[in-house]
Amino acid sequence: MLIIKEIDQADRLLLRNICWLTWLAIAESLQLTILVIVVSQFILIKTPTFIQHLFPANLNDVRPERGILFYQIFVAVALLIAAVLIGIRYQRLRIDQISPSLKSFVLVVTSGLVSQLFAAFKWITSPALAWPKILFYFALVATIGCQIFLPELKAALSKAVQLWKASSFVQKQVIKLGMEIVFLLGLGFALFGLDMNKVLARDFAVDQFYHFDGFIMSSTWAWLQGCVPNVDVISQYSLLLPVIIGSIAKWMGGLSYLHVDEILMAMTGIYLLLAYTFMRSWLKNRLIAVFGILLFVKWNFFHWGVTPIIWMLPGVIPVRYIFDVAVLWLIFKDLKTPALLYRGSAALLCGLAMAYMVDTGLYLTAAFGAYVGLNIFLYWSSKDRLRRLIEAAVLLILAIGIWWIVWYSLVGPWIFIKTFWSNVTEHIALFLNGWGALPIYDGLKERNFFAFVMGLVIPIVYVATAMVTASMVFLKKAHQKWLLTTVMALYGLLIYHYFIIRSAVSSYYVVCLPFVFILCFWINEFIPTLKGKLRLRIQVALVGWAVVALFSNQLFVYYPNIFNLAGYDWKPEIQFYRQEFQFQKDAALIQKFSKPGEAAPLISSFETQILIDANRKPFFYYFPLITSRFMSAQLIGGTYVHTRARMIKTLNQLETAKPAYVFVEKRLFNHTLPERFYQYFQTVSLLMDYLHNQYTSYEEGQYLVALKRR
Amino acid sequence: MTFTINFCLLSWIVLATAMELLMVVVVIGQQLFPPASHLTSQIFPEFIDTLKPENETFYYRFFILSAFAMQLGALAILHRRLEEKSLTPSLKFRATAEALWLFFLVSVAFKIIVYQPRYQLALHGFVFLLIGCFLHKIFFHRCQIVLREARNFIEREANASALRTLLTVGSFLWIAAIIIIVNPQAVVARFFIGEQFHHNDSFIMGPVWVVASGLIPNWDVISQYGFGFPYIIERLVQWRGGVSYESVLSVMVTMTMLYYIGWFWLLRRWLNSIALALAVLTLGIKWQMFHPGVYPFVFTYGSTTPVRFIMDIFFFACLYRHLVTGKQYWFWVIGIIAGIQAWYLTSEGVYLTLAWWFYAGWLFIESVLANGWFQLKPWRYLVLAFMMPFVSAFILFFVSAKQAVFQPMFWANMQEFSRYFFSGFGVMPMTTNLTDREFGAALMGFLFPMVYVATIIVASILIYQKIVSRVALMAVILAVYGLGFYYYYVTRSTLTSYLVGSLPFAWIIGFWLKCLGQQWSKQWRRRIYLILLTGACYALLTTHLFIAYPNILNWSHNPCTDPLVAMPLKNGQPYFNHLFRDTPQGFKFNINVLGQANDGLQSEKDFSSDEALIEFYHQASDFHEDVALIQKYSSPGQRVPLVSSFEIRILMDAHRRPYFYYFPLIISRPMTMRSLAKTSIYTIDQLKKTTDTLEQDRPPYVFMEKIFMVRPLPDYFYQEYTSFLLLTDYILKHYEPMEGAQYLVVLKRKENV
Repeated sequence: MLIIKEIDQADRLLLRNICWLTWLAIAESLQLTILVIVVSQFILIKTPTFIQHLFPANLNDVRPERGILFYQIFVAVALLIAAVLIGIRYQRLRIDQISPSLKSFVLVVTSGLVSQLFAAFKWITSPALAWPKILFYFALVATIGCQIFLPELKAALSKAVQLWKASSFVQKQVIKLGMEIVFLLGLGFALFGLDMNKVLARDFAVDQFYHFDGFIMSSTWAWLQGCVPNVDVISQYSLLLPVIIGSIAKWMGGLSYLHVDEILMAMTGIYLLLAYTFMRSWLKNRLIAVFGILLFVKWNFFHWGVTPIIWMLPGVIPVRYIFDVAVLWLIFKDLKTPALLYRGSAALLCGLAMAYMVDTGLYLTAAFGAYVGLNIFLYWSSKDRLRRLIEAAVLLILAIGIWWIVWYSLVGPWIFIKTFWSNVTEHIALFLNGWGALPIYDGLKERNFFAFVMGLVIPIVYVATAMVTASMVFLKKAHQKWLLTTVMALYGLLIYHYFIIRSAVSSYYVVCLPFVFILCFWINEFIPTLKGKLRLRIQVALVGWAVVALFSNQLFVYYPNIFNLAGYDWKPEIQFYRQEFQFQKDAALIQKFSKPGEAAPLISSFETQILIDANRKPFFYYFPLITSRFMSAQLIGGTYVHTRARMIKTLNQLETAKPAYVFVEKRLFNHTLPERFYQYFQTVSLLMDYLHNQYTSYEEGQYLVALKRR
Repeated sequence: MTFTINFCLLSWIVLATAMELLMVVVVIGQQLFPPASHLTSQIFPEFIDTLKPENETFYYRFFILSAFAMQLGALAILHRRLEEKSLTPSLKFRATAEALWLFFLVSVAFKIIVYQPRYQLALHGFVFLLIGCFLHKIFFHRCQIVLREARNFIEREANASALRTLLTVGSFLWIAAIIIIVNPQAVVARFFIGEQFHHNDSFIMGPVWVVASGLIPNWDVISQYGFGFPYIIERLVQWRGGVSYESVLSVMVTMTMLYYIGWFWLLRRWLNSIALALAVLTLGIKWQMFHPGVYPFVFTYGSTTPVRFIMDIFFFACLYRHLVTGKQYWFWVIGIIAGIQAWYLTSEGVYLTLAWWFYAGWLFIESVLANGWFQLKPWRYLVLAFMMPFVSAFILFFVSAKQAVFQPMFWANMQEFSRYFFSGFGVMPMTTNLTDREFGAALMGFLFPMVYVATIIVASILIYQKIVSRVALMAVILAVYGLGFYYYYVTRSTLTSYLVGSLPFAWIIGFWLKCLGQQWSKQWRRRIYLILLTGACYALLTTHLFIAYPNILNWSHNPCTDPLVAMPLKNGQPYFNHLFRDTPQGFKFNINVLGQANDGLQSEKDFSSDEALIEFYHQASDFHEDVALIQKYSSPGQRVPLVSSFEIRILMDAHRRPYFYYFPLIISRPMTMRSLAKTSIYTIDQLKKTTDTLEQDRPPYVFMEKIFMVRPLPDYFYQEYTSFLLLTDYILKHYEPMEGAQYLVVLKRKENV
């Protein structure tokens, strides 16, 4: 039987040394095998003679390769190097620790190998990308170079460290600040240094502005034309956002997709800057703040749910919950130095947030309410309990009051009418009844295990964090500032409803900011428990990992920024966009049969852009009415008339107003597409049947036809 | 510190209980209040897919609120005691129990989802666990007492001997229960309808029938994988009453069971721990027999079972004996076994030979280091050791193949398929798993050789430094053997094919666990090994392939057809007849050989039980009319040229020898299909060899499926069925139909052609 003796100190040293040397042997062997693989790429594999005798149907089964040779090289070289290394040091294995220089050598080889394998992994899994090849060859050359010039490299490094140590406090601060500015500028360029033609072209090519129109564009145009949101024209997501965007766009020279994209980007940029500065001020740790913001950017901007580009889906960018960081900051300030000013400002912002977007506003207000409530409970036994209760009630009234004031200023007396409220809640009611919902295990069925686990882990982390931090504060085992983390966790749980209802793969990243904050909080709490040098190393490693994770992300690589890491040719896409997205002739047709300021009943793809070009008001309450498809394609995208109630409302509008002219897409009205389209899209057929009964074709534009009422 | 520990434990218990409570609510909620939406009648049909009512928001809120409420309650009760050290042990125990329950519940919940649509069994398990979990909470203190007493009973030295005996006997029974198949007939019926015996015909049935009918493999008729194994199997099969699919399957199953029992015996002795030996053995069985690459059942692919490398148990058992006793004859027996394996099945014989040479080399170096380079004895031993596998293999070849071993053609035939393989035929690059985004499999695939190499290096030094006894050399030899075995994956890197040869890896894990275990106290070592054993058993028992395996532990009496356990294809399609279900219409005729306008393809749902499946198998494989036709036009002992699906089965029934070198010649498809078949002829040379034989021998009669005579055919048929059509064109040119039976027709050679 196997007998293992008791291990003493010398044996432990021996084991440690063996492990180092074995790993070095394996790593060097891997390195050499990689080198051989690279070289062999330039030597063609001789076609086996038997292939000439193979029947064509079997040719696909032949894949000559050198896998066996590489495998043999790896095994033989590893054993050989190990034999040599251990042979040289055999007598000293029990006595001396292997030298620090050899350890550094091993670390250099390992880091180089990890980089090469990572690049190779990306190269194999995404062969279309340009950067993995470059990184691979760079890492290969750098690893070999570093191994050869290791002493010189170490000398240079230690010189740099000495220089750093020798510099004064002010110099160090200036350098740190400089690096911070460089980082922020770099991140800014990476995220916002975009070629807008590419962004618009991609949005058009992939989505035909479907999400953009539904989220912001159509409602903004309607507001600019004097329509009352959710009274004249639906504004599904927000009442205030179209007003803000519309006003800025007007100031920029008029509403266009370009301007709206630019405004959204600017808002997002400000939000990110605010989130970064908040984290820096809250955690008092630059590196963790950098890590946090990089992680947030990677998760929020570049997850699979926002393929191919986040700006195509404005409903998932931070603009959706733009007020949260400010409110959290005010709570943080209040926890540091309690002041009604902070709490009042937070309540004011909560009110604005509700007016801005109902769901995220309510979540934020509830989180703020939880903060106020926790504060009351924390000081329940104090004398000013009543004052605190009254103050909480006032803050709540303030928040709701602001919300109502803002809405009143937007819709006027409509705010007191039931129709307005049923319009406001129409989409929420649909959503709560299962419209657009997805089960939480949806990802698991498609074997997206990681996404599924993350989807479950996030709320558990929130609950655990809220439980632990609040309990610790109440048991007086932690500083009261920890309540901020409790509020963040509660806010995270509330905003997570987004994922619970619509559990599409990785859509939890849309609302991941509280999770990032909490992660950074715990890391920041954990780091001081480590030994001196390890603290900095771990923080640098975290930042390094986040940078690599961001820059190697497939979506980031194809992101149309100045880096163009994918080396993708955008010209055909841009050209296609410019060709297809031209509606002047149809806009002229509308102008011909309608007066300025008049609502134009338009049933067409890209109705928002056509109405902007024609400078006409939308007619239908459900605007956009049609899901856009390329005008030149033989396709129909359907309508936004999801329910029978919506159809009745739309037809009633036509029947009541009896507009003299209606403008409709030819392919819809003339029935030129295959019959299956009209059978499948019943809503289109119903609308067209009505038009065929009541209207007659009058004049044609490029894609549209003007119909005159019979 | 005490406060922090107690607080963390308490929070964990609360969180885990909240999750368990949530699971109860979900189960009850889904049963009593299935999600519904009043919008269903309001929505236009084109949007109906967008409507998916659910109760998840309620569950989510319930979880949050229950966790907070329980935390509040727990703190209200215990907050004064959180500083007490005496609270920690009971909290620890409860926290561990909650962790275990939660682990099991989450793991089964996970299975419910990934086993879709065959989740029913997992659902039963989930409900059972959930009830157990809450009963455990109610009777917590009683359970605690029972567990403590059980632990004391296990750890009492007086009970050790009896428990060891019990565990050993239980282990043998456990291995037998895992592997033995209850109803071999049903399994064979599934081979027949599942993949028409495709893999086993070429691996084992063809060569065994060749040997049984007195022909020589790779001389008269091909034996693609190796030379000797058909002789062994044939001999064993004869003891069981003659060659048949059922008897060959039973022999394979028995060999596999004995192989694993053998390894258990060896591991138990080597690692000196029954629990550890059984843990790694269970892990080995799980990897080797129940990985996705052998869907739906490992014996469907006989070449991936231990039948392929059965000699390694003898090799390592002798190696162990040599290491323990140092007796010379064990040393030579090892070399002989390497040679026997080379005769038995070539590739694994080569790997064992490499392992043997490594061992001999090791002993040689030891000897010269001790006695100097100029002693004759070590050199003599080295040369002899080098020769030993060749000699033993050659003797066996000579005994079985006689004069053929002196013919170059015999050796060329022996190498034919490995030559194709090494030239890239059927090869898959090692990056396949990465490009298919099977990252777990890819990582494991790359990890194997690293562990082997590291084991060779580290274990060698540990032996030389006398930290471990020389018996550890077995780990080094296992690693060398594992490196050889890994060629299987290097050349054909499909999904989990590295697990086919994963046993050395599992045994090496056992070795390292043993080394690690020596650093723990005896009590902890025993506990950890038992935990590992439980973990391995749990992993095995919850593997879907194991649940579907038709052994005595199967939950169903009809494991081959019962949807509760039988697995469909990954895409949810039926497994039965899956190879031919998607044959394009363009390659089908209007009617089949029986004049029916369909293919008569059945699926699992067409059978109410395994007995019904067996009944169908008996009917569909009843070729008595065709057998009678063959017997009418050929004499006993004659080689019969038969071009038909299920040619092995037909020839076995007719008691006739195969004629063609490439046997089976036709890749079988259901006889009732309205299509042609493909052949196992891949090159022009192979086709020429086949037609040349016909041309030289000019057999008076050739038997062929009736439907193969359909002519003319469109040109695109010749692209798809090239070798088949060229061969049958030759037959139709030189032969004319004479008499038909159910599926076959006999063709007579034309005069003057």
